[in-house]
Amino acid sequence: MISAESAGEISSGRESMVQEEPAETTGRYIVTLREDHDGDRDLSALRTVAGADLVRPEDFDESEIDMAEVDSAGGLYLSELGIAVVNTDPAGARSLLAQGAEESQVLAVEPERVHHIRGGADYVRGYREGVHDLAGRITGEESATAGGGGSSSQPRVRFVDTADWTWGLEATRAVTSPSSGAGTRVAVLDTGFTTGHPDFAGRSVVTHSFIQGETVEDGHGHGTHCIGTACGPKNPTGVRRYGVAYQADIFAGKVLSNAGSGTDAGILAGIAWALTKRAHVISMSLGANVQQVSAAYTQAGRRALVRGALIVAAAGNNANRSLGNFGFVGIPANAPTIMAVGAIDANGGIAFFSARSNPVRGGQVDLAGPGVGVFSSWKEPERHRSISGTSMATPHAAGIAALWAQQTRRRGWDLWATLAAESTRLQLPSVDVGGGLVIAPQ
Amino acid sequence: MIWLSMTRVIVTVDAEGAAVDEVALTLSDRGLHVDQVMEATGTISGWADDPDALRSVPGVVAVEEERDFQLPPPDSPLQ
Repeated sequence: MISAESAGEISSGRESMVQEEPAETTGRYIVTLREDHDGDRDLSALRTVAGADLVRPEDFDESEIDMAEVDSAGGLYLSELGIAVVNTDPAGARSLLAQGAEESQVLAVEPERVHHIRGGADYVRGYREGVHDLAGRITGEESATAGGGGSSSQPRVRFVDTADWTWGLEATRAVTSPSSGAGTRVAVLDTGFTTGHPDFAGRSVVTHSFIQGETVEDGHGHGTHCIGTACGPKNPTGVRRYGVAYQADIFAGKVLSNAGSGTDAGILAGIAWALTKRAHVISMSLGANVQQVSAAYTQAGRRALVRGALIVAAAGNNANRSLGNFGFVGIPANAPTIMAVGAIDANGGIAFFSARSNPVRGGQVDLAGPGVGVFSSWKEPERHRSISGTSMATPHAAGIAALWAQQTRRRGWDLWATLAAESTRLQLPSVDVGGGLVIAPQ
Repeated sequence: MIWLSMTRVIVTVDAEGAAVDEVALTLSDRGLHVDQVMEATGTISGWADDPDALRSVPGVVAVEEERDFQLPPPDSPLQ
């Protein structure tokens, strides 16, 4: 089914070189039934509309359906898939949809399409684009590819902060998500939290400091900002909404000091604590500029996934793309068991500082999030601030992971796969943005 | 005693839960001054004169020198 692009979406579709053709159809209809459909009722409803019995795989040995029988029957009923092919006219198809509205058996009705193998021209065009892309990477020049070119630097839509919400919440579709993060536990391992922040009054916040000699009170601001992005309130007083999972339970682990310093021991202890607290998502906006993967973080990430926790970490800010330095994903985001999040700006372009994938196993950027000019909470007395960084993209991904965890009940690797499958492809290299912009469930 | 000359290390072990503490004891015998034992992640932090000597302890997956992490100062627009 084709959905129209609505205004305000970051577009993944370029000016297509391939002409869309009107679909060639057979005159039959494909009926998709709801997950909880009642097979007997379906069959009877479909038979009525088709005017004859439908053929089923069970009617044949080894489900080897004789398609000629389908043509002369009322159609084909595939109960395992919850799908039927029905020989009926447009009026019959419409009546099936009408039934769907009341009795909720039918999810969709589509004309059956004819498919053809694709011609050779597409293959050659694809090959040419591949060569352009490779040449660009070797020379370090982001060269325009034929047909796709100008549009990679001229994105279609520009997002802005509005009075209601931040550009990042709109771009990731968090503002239209029916999920709130209720029932999920999000741990943010950072410089702590401003526990008295008025925007978080009444929220469940569990804290612990892993920094000797310092309380969890955020003397830097970074931790409060990241927690704000991941879990900030739906209707903060006097400012625009800036948080994704506004009903998630917050776990603030201070693993970086008020001066912004931390060590492996503190960070790993923070991860262990978050796992003991049964966090669903662990957000780490921190990193060290080391290409080699750390065994400790790889194991921590793996054990987290096994226990149903997904760790997301900042890809890193060590790039300076205007000078031709693409940076690299460092520890801990480069662990194969930890998701690395890069940063895009409000034009849908890659942030100048966002680190590129590192060739080691696990070193790839997995997803991208809003990371330039991100408005969120800050320590007192300022209370709010806009800053940039892959540190800001990461809690967008964390909060959205919490929304998906709530909606689908998926955990660990399943949740990773869900985020990957549900990201919007961007017109940017995957070495920079992985599977694309992280998107909230709708 | 922990001397300044000692190296801060993170030891990753394949043990789980309480078994991590047992490996920590053996590591201690081999010269690791144990700081923290993290059962959930299977990691142990501490100080060692000779990190290499720890690698042959049964259950040890890796011995790494501890790394430092540093954010920009609070007033930096890039975080």
